[in-house]
Amino acid sequence: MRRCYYLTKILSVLLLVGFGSNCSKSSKINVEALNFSKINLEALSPTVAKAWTDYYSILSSDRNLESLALTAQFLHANDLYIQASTAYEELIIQQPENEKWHYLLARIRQDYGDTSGTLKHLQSVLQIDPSNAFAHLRIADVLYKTGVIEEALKHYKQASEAPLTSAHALLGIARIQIDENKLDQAIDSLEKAIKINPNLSTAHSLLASTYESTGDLSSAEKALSRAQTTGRFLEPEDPWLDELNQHCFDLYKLQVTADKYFLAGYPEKAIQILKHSLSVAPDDAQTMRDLAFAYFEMNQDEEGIPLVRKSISIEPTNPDGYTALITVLSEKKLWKEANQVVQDALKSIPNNVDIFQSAGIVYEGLKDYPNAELQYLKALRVDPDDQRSNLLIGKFYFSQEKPKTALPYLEKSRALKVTDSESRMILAKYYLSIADLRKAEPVVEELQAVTPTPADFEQEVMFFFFVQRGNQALTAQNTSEAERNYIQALKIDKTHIGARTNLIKCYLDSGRSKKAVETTRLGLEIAKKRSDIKAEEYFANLLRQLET
Amino acid sequence: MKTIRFLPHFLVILLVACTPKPEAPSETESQTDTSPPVVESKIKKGFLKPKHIGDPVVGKPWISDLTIADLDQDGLKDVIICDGKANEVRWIRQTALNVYEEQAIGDPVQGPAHVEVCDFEDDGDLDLLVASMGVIFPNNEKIGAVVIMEQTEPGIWVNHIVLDKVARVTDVRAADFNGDGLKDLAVAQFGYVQGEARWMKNLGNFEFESEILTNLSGAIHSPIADLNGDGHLDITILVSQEWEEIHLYEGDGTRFRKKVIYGSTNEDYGSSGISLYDVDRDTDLDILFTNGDAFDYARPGPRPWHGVQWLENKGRGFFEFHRLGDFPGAYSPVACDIDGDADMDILAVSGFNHWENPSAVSLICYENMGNERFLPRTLAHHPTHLIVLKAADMDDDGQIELVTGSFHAYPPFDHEFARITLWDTQ
Repeated sequence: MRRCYYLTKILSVLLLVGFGSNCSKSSKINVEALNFSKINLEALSPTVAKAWTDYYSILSSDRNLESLALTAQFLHANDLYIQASTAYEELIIQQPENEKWHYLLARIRQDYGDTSGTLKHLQSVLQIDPSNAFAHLRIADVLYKTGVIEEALKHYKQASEAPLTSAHALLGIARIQIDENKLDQAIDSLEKAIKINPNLSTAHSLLASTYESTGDLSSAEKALSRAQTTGRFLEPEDPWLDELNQHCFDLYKLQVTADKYFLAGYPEKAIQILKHSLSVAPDDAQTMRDLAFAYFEMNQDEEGIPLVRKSISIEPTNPDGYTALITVLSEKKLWKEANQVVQDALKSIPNNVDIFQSAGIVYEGLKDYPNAELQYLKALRVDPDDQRSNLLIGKFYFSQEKPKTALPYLEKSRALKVTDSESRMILAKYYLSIADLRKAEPVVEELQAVTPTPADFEQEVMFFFFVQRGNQALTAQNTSEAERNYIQALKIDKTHIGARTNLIKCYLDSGRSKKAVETTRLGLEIAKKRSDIKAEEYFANLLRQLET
Repeated sequence: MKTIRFLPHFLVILLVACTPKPEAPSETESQTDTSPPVVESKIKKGFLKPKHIGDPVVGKPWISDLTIADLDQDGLKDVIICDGKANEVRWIRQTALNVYEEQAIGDPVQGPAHVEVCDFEDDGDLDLLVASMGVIFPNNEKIGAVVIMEQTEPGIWVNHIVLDKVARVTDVRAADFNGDGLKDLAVAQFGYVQGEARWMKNLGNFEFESEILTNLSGAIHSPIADLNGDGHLDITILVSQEWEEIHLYEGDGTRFRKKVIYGSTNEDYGSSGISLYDVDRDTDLDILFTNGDAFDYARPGPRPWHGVQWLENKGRGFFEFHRLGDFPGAYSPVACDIDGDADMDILAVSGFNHWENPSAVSLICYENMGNERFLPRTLAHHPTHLIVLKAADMDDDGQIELVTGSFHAYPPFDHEFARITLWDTQ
């Protein structure tokens, strides 16, 4: 049954690639001489091994170039590079004018890091088709990486004229310009590349570094923030490489390819690959989960939920499906449904940290706080050093107004992960609320270094931090230190009455009544502009008092 | 017609057979080629006996680097490790022949990625240079640091943070580049979205002045040597991420000039390790490197192009590429005469192999059969998840021992976990 499926698949690929226009149909292939029978089926994944049997049987019976071409691409697509190289070499002998075989063989050499082999085959492509932009781009890359810069530049320029390769070619040109310290030109090339392909992450990060080198830090920061949202680098869309994915039956490789597309900002393409993967192995729970997760990322929960449920029924002891499903249901606040999944998960996997954590979250959602606490404690019992478990129980105790119980867990979460902004946010707020500046100061400092912190929260914490520091200095009668901190706080929130009043007090204490009046007047103006009646009344009264 | 078709194959076979150093890529090793090597190996099955050293295995160890040195200069070689889980540099001291005891040294270092032993101050005792990533796993925060652990009195090391709040640091090495008698530093900073490499001029008293060599992300190693033979020290930077290049920064005693000496155009190549040895014993240093990194995949695993290769130093900054063979998840290349036949064999470990398959190799040797013709020999399948390997004669018996470190940060987790393994030659 499965064999029929694979045969159908191969035939559909044959139709898809439209093979035939460029083929000589006269010669019979000596299949035995290609030594494919040496392929060790046991070393292949089951799906690849099954498909190979079909491909090989077609090749053995047809013995024509069409079936050899399919076989070559199958071998390439499924990482059987040595056999694929043999097949491409045979195709090159049979069809020396077909640039595709030279190109694909070059890609195998390239994958191995064999620069001279890559160059040789790409040059053959250009001999056949001097305008092949992909070959120009690849040759340019190889030449750049082997230090042949002038020649590389020529090929980059050729590639920059074709729509599919222009962004990557401009990136290559920019690298040469950076090496030659022509930074303004490099910036221009990178900006152009980004305009053509906004997903080209490397161009964004290189642009940020180049702006930094020119001293334009504000442009660097903007470029960097764009770089951080673009994901991973991906080579240009290449129709011949895309076609290989249709011949791939290796589930791991398909998952990696999908992952790359996803991270590079092409989720639809990732889903397309995973769908193909699922058609290769319709009962593979991992592939179902991968596809479901991709749908979840795309906010297409209705597509993902049935898949993940099916994966759970096939692999009930794998925690990933449960946790993903619980997260999705929890986000929708479907607590009862989520709880049902939790109960199933706890039955199937009784001692898993992730499941206990998810269970705790769901019980919190159901307002069943004793059970939530119990689940978090169970997670910690399994692994006391799990950062997320410490964070979750710390947050839980905080929400239950038990800050002293929460503190050790949050401090542990902070120690376990230098980039954990959540624990630091809670800790900073708490230490500031009890005016413990000695403890607050290092946490605030760490928080400032962690960029995922929401900007508004950081502002809020920083405001209280400066106010507290100002208050402390004022108590210690250090007026100048207090003044400095209140000014910093007012830069964040100009309308805060307490901070402004204390700043005015600092001016009055140091005998600067004119400055005090100016500051009060400013407060009054800001309050009027913002239609803050309460603040307006306050500053108007204060101003009258000061003027009399 | 038929004769003509098969003639090129015959010529290829003939050429391969006559070539002393096979051209890359080697087509003799692959997952599907099981034909045994023709030449008899001097490496006999089971000649390495593994044993655990140091503290017992707890949880899933993350040993990110190790080095071998007689740290307390008592005549016995010790092992110094970066423990990525404990965020500590630890000393596995050989207190008596073949007796090892472990202790932490210096203050904790967040995400330690590399440790180097050197007498940094030229005061006769050994200090440590430590690269701190802040966190080992991907992160673009400026949380990297360079730490010099100064041995202030015997057995006591004090941390000096000489660079911090920078893109994650993955390597730091020391040498006097400008001839002023003070050791300067060569630093690789992987970062993530942004990274860099720099050299740091030593101004004395643990103060330095930095000069950026490259702004590329993904720099993982920065070994130092005079590779172009001009009498000045050069810095080699292995840049991974999507760049996959080896840069030679040619020094002239005052500054460095960049030269790209090798690069793969496969953006997924997975550059993972580099080391400098005189592989062909022609008195200059060659570059040995591996590609086997798969950390950035959602499910880390091997790729068909992972392997081991070397760049033969042809002089004046020119190199020739030679692929030794495929090795899934290859890391940490080392050259040494493991079989005692007076030539250099090449060894490497695997961080990412098909661990669900019991025949997946974790330690391999490319045995030098003469004239730098290398044949692969499987040395071990366990422990798995190895990302660091070093070689030295640990017990002064005239034979080389190996030390490996395990990094169990990704599945499968159903194997027996290891931490530090000493491989004694029999």
